[in-house]
Amino acid sequence: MKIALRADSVVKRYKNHQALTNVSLEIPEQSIYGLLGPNGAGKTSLIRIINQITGPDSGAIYINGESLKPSHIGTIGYLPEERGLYKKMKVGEQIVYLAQLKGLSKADAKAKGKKWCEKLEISHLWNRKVEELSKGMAQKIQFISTVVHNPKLLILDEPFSGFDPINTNLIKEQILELKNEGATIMLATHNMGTVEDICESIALINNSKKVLDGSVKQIQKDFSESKYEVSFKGNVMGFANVMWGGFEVLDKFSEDRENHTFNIKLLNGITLNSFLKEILPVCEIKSVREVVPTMSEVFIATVNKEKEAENE
Amino acid sequence: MNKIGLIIGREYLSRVRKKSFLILTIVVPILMVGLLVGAAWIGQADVGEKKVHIVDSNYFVQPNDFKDTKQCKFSFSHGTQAEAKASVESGEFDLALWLPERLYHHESAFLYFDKEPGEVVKRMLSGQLNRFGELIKVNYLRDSSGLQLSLEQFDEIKKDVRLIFEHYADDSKTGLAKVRWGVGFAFSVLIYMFIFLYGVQVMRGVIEEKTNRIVEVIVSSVKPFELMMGKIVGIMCVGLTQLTIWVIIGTTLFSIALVTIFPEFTYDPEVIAQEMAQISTNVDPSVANEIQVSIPENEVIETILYKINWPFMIGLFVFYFIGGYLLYGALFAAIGAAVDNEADTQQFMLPITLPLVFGFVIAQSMALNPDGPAGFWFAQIPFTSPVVMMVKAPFGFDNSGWPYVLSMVLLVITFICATWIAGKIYRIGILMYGKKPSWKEMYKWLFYKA
Repeated sequence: MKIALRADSVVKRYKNHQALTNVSLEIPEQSIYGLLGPNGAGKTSLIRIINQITGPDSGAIYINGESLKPSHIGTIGYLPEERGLYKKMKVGEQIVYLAQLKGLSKADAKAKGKKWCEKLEISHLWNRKVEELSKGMAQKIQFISTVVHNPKLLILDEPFSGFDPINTNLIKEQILELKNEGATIMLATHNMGTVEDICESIALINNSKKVLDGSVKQIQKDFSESKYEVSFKGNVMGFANVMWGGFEVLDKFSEDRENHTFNIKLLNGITLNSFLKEILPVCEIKSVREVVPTMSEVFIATVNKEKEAENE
Repeated sequence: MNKIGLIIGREYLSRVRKKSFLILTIVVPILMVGLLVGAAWIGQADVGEKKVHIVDSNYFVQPNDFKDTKQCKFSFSHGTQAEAKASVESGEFDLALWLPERLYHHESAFLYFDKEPGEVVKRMLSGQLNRFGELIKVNYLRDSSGLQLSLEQFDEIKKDVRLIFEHYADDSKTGLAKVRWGVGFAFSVLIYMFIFLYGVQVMRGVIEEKTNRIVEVIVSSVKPFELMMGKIVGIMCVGLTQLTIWVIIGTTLFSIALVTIFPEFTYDPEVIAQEMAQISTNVDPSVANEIQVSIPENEVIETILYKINWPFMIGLFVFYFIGGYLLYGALFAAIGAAVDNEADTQQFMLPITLPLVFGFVIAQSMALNPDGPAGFWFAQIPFTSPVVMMVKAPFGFDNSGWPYVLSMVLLVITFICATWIAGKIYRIGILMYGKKPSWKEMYKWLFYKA
């Protein structure tokens, strides 16, 4: 596995505020990497360092093994959270201008810009001024200007804000397509649904420190707490009495007198196997599913844990 | 470097293509010329008839050489300079034109007055004197070199006779100082206006990029310093374009106005053609082809031409124009970067506009005392020198060159420092949103690491 981006003990301090404390992370090539964290945790600081807008106080960033240098700017596409366009400029001019700043020739910029406009179904807006467009349209143009120069590394900060569900999907598809074509994508977001949807691995930054990282699946596994959703046909009382004290009912739902769904958490190290063994004689099991924690729960749990640790 | 070019191009084109630019560029010179012509029209109307005494020290003048006009009635006598002055002092004549002996060697002629005549009379007298001067020179050269005239001699003839306007008793009461001041002040006004108009445009441009949040997209592609310089230089090019168009339209319109509305300001082409015909019969034919009938279009400018070193003034103007703009443009850019909206700029604008306005006031006051110490010192201080130097330069610094050099060096050093400081503030400011920073915070930004 090749590493597209590596941060090595990055430290950034502002006058009255520590933005990043020894943050290290590795983003595998051709993957989608989620950068999570509460507001003010240091995500934007890290992103700005990668984009060479600011520099780290210590530590280093490597892109494809090379330490960060000015020529990397042309290989990165950056969609900041605080973003906008020149309102008085025409869509086409704007895309070409921003692409030229990334090092494309004018002709190349125009050709690629037009292709992208076709892809996102906004070719008809090429000669319109940005101020005449809706927010969603403007966001599409913003997205195009981020990807038009074929960056190897894409850094997207809240890419879906301002999009309706249809366009969110459209952009999601484009991101996945870019990944399949070889791009590496770093996605900073608060939207945990997106993370579960498209991110392969994540890092969670809290209070300037990285507190969690790894693949999404592994993290969910690590955070799962023997919670299961069990659907069965039979007597509720019978089900409940089988292993008294062996599990805790978190939630229950009954379709009718006979069909029930229970959310349970196994206690005292009891395995699913031994639980099923006890329960099978009493009722007819229709389905059993492990309930993995959502990334949102992981996020909240981790941040709260950090807070508690801090308070102690 | 290539990226700065792109930024300059965008800043330039986005402004030049605006309708407001086009309108301003066309309307302003029309308005200015309209005002000038209007003022001249009114000035012309209230000139009464002047009695002009032509005192000839050499028996040059023939009765028909000066022709009476609406404004002037001429009478002639032979006499000395003192007699000329006396004729005005006694009140017998309004004006006395004294023609010195060696007029053909382009010695200046003098016009003595008690009350300085208006521009219309001055121009008319200069015009008639020049025609007369040519005649005298032709006669002189004919006498001294036979009938053949060389091109050099013809050029000699075409040189205007300088007419010096003097009060009969007090030669400091001349309009010359005012003319000099006026020329300098016109340049000053242009520089002052330009710095203000376009400096504020730089600031607005920076605020715009900040408020519409494009700035972070841009600085992920170019260095903040490049973005800042691109903006400043791009807007400077807009200003230079506008100025060039103003000058072209203005002079064209003014010339047209002069020829059509005030024909008496100009030579009568027929008279000149006749004279030319007379001369050319005596001139080598090969030379004659090169001679063209020239009609001086603007006597005011012609008059000013003798007293003002134009190439020097224009050179100075371009230098202080660009130098002053770059200095203030950088500071305006820094302000724009520090705030979120235009309402917040006032607090920071004041210390920047104050020296500029102060310089302008000094430049105005120099009409009364152009050689005072204020003119010297404020022409040296870089924050006022672009405005003040233009007024000071026509009077000079007692013929020494070093004050110019010092002033220019100081301006260059200051604008380099200002750009450096502005770059630091800009770099931090453009990515800061929310609270308006204090002076103290902005000072701290200077020492932040990149």
